[in-house]
Order: sequence, then C-alpha cells, then structure tokens
Amino acid sequence: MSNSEETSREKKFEHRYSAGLLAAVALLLLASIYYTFALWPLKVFLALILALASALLIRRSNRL
Amino acid sequence: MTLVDWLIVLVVNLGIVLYGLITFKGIKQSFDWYLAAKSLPWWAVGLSAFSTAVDSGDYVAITGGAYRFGLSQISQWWLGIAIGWFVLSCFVIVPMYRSGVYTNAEWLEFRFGPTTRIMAVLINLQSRTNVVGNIYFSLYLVLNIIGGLSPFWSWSIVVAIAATAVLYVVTGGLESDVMTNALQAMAMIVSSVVLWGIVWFRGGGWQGLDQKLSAIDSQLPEVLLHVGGYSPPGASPWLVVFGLIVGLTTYAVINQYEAIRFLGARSEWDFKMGALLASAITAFCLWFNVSLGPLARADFPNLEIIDSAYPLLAKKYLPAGLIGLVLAGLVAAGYSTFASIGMGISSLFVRDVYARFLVKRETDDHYTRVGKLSVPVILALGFAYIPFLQDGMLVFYLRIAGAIAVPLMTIMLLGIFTRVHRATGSIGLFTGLAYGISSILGDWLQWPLPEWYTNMWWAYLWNIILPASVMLIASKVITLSRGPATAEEIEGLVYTRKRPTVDVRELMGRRLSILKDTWLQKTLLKTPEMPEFPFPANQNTWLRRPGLLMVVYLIIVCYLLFVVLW
Repeated sequence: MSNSEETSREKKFEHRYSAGLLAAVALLLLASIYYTFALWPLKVFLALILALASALLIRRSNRL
Repeated sequence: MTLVDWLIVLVVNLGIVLYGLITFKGIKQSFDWYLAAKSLPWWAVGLSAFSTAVDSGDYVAITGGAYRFGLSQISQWWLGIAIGWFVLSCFVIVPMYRSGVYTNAEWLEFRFGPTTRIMAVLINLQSRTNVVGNIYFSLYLVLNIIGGLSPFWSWSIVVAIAATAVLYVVTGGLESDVMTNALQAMAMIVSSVVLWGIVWFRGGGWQGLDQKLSAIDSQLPEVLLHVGGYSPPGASPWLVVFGLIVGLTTYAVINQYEAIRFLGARSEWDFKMGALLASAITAFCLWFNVSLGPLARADFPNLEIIDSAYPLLAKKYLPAGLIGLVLAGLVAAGYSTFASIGMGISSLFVRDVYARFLVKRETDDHYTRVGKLSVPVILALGFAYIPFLQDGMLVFYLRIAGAIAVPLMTIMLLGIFTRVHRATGSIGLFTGLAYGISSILGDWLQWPLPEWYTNMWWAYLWNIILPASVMLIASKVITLSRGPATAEEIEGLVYTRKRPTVDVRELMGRRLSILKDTWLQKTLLKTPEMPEFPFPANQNTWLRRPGLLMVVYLIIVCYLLFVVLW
C-alpha cells in the first residue's frame, strides 16, 4: 500500500471515529431529558450542534 | 450525578484516550517520540498549548482565585500568557529551534553552562509537579462535590485518570500528546461556556451580580468586578496586575512542556501562528472561568475552601446531562496537562540529566525507553503537594512561582536578547533564587523584614530587576578584563531575525567537547533544519506576518483590560 493510501485510510478512520464520539454525546444529552426537563431547549440545541459536526465529519471522510 | 452524566464523561474522555492509543502507536525513534518528527501544524500547536496551559486545576483554582482577587485575575490570562507565548515564539524558541536542541535546558547549557541546565530542570520539576498536585486536588474536589463520590472513590478515579494519560503518552509520544490535546481543548471550551452561560443568566447578568455583591458588602463590586480592584496591604493594584502578568509570562517562557510542542512544529511560521491561536482561545475560555469567581462569591459568600467555588456552582445550577458535559471538560483539562507534563519533564530528565550526566553512550532505543518509563514517576511526584493546597491552590503557586521561576525567565531572556558572558547565567540565577527564597521564608516565618521585600507581589518585580542588573554588571566586569563574548561562544544561541550565515549544527556539534560521540551530540547533529514557512517563501499573504496579528491582539486586550474593565 502506498503512503498516500495509508494516510487517506488513517484520516478516514480519524474522521469517522470523531463523528461517532460526537454522535454518542449528542444522544446521551438527549437521553438526559428523560431525567429532568430543566433546560431541555439548551440540551436539544447542543445535541443538534454535535450531530451537525458529526455529519460534516462523515461527509468529509466519504470524500477522502 | 446520573448514569447519563457518567456516560458522557466516559465517552468523551475514554474516547479521546483510545484515539491516542490506536492512532499513535509503536513509536521507537527518539526524534519521533520527543519531537513528533517536527511535523506539527499550527492549529495543533495552538490548541495543544492552550489545553496544556489550562488544566482542571485552573478551572477550579482560577474560579477560587477570582472568588478572592476578582477580575484582576483576567489580566494574566488575557495579557500575561499571551506576552509569554509571543516572546517565546517570536524570539526565545527561534535559536533553540534552529540549533536543533530538544529542550530549553539544553540550550541553557550551551549559552550559560551546566549549572543553569541543572537548575532549569529542578525549577521545571518543582513547578510542574506542583501543577500536577493542583490538578489532582481539583479533580478530587470536583468528583467529591459534583460527582458525590466518597473520598476513596474520588482519589481512585484521579489515579486512574493519571494512569491512562501515561498510557497514550508512552505509546505515541509528543504527537499523541498534541493531537489528543487538540480534541480535549474542544471539550474544555464547551464545558466553560455551558456552565458560565447558565450561571450568568440565572444570576441576572452583570446587574444581578453587582446587586448581590453589594448586598454582602458595599465595597465588594468595586474589588471584584474591576481589573484594578484588588490591592492587598503593601501592594497597589498596578503591582498586583504586574505580578499576575509576569507570572504567566514566566510560565510560557520557561516551561519545557510548553516549549517542546513549539520545537515539534513543522516550521517557524507554524509555532508563531500556534502562539497566536493559543492566546486567542485562552482569552475566550478564561473569561468564563475567571468571571465565575465573583458569581460564586455572590452565591456562596462565606466559603472556607475557596477552591470549592467552581464545583459548588456546577452542582447548584446544572441539570442532568449538562453536569456530565461540564465534568467531561474538566477531566479532559486534567488529561491534557497530565500528558503534557509527563512528556515535557521526561524530555528534561532524559536529555538534561540521564543522558548528560549518567549514561552517555547508549542506543537511541534505550533513551526512548527511559523517557517512557520516567512518565509515570513524574506524575506520581504530584501527590507530594496535596497537604499544602488546602489554603487555595493559586495562592501557593503564585508565591512559589514569583520566587523561583521568575529568575529563570530573566536569565533566559538576557541570554536570548543580549550578548552577556556565559559565566553570568549562574550568577543571575542564584542571585534571584537567594532573594526569592529569603522573601518566602521572611513571609512565612514572620522575619522582621520590610513589606516590599517579603510581599509576594513585589517578588515578581525584584526577580526581574535583581538578576538582570547583576548579570549585566558581571558581564561588563568580565568584558573589561577579558574582552566581549566571542562569536564562537554565542553564534546561533542568541536571537537574530535572519538565519545565521555559519553552519549552526556543525558549531553546536563541537561547542561542548564533553558531549563528543554521545547520544546527545549525535541526535543534535541529525536533527533536520526546518523551513521558515510551510508554504512557498514567495507566497505573499497577510498570514505571512504573525507578528502583526500579535500586535493587533495586544492592542485590543490592553484596551479592554486597562480602559474598559479597569
């Protein structure tokens, strides 16, 4: 495997891994609404930002 | 804290640890392990410098400090550390980067002799293990108060965090440290903004804060809500702010664990832009942490342990889910600094003590292994400070730093900017240390000495003036008897805007005969010379001049500090 192929594979992994982490935190934030409704709009807002960042990372990894 | 909160803390932090372990493994060459093969881009250097400088101890201790000192604290984070990073990246690190050294203590021996090298190692070791102790204690407070865990479990988790930080540093070296730092920086910023936003709006903003503080004591808003508001007996507000600024300027200039990520940059432009990015993010993030101090004072006016202010605010205002997000950022801040201190101090131990004085001619693999083994030992030393931190982590740190670290910064700056003689380094350093230690003892043991001598804020001023004056006078005397320092002695070791015309590597290789055929000499000669820019030199863009952007940053910050918030 050439160096550039290896770098691209590593980058793909890094992007997908980070996207997975962000999505997991977003889901956990939404799940926390089950415990209390306090500040739920803020939790939804933060979860949306995290989900958006995660989607962007997945899109970038698909382009590599 | 609920199960979801703990899961958020785990996903964020173990996720980053696993990323470090999987992505950066099996590094064996010392050049790759200690300096990331000089491959780091500016954004990684900047984010890493920020998350290295700001640890969970800072989140907790800075809020605790601002609970007592108010917004005067912000001067060090907006201006002090930025000046330090700018001086480091534009001047101090330049000859070190060009000459191929791995540590700032190594440069000190070439410039001032072996005594200063050893003293720099000891000072770095003392101040950084003190910081590790602060982080342990702050994480303990956070887990105990916010997490509701027993002291046993809180301390057990603190040890587990330090141990897992060791793992990814050992496997991936500086690159793993810096790249995980970049991710941890994101978690830290989110954590700061979320807690501050909720406390600020629930407390009624600036007006609500002012009213609550006035109800406690009519003078309190004047003291806590102005940069120039705090002045203890024997020190004016200007002296306090000067001391705070010098404190963090010193931090940025002398610390090997900051310097090493600049030395690992892929070009000179990268570490300068990194310094600018680090300053901007630090200013943004620390505004939130510092202004939480007065907010905490308004809510909890009679705290016995002022460092519990931050966890108490988190516990009072944050609902399930968000408390986990904030705690995740705090733990990430701890991780990032543990890893960086382990990495930085291990480079000092191996290059400046072990390979220099103990075992000089072993294989490259051997020295990388010793570096890896030293990381857990360095982090374990932090526990020695825990008994001294009950009165406030920041106060203890400021007292020691003014007395011990500032003289080292003074001699480094004189070594970089002037042509003082080689012998003057030790003279300046010991003069500063003698004054600093006597001022601490005078303060603690109540010796009959004047206030201006023992006061911790004055120490920041005297420890610049005294060592610098003594060095300049000593150098003049030596010049009168032996003539000025020769080019052979200082070429390539002092700051010059243009690259030296001589072959600096060759000069460095033969400068210290005691290093002949040692691992230190071989690695020094093999370190590649790196470019000034990572893009073509003729590419004409405003980004080519990080210095100009730094000046703009300083003007804006000075206006805010000394006009708007003073």
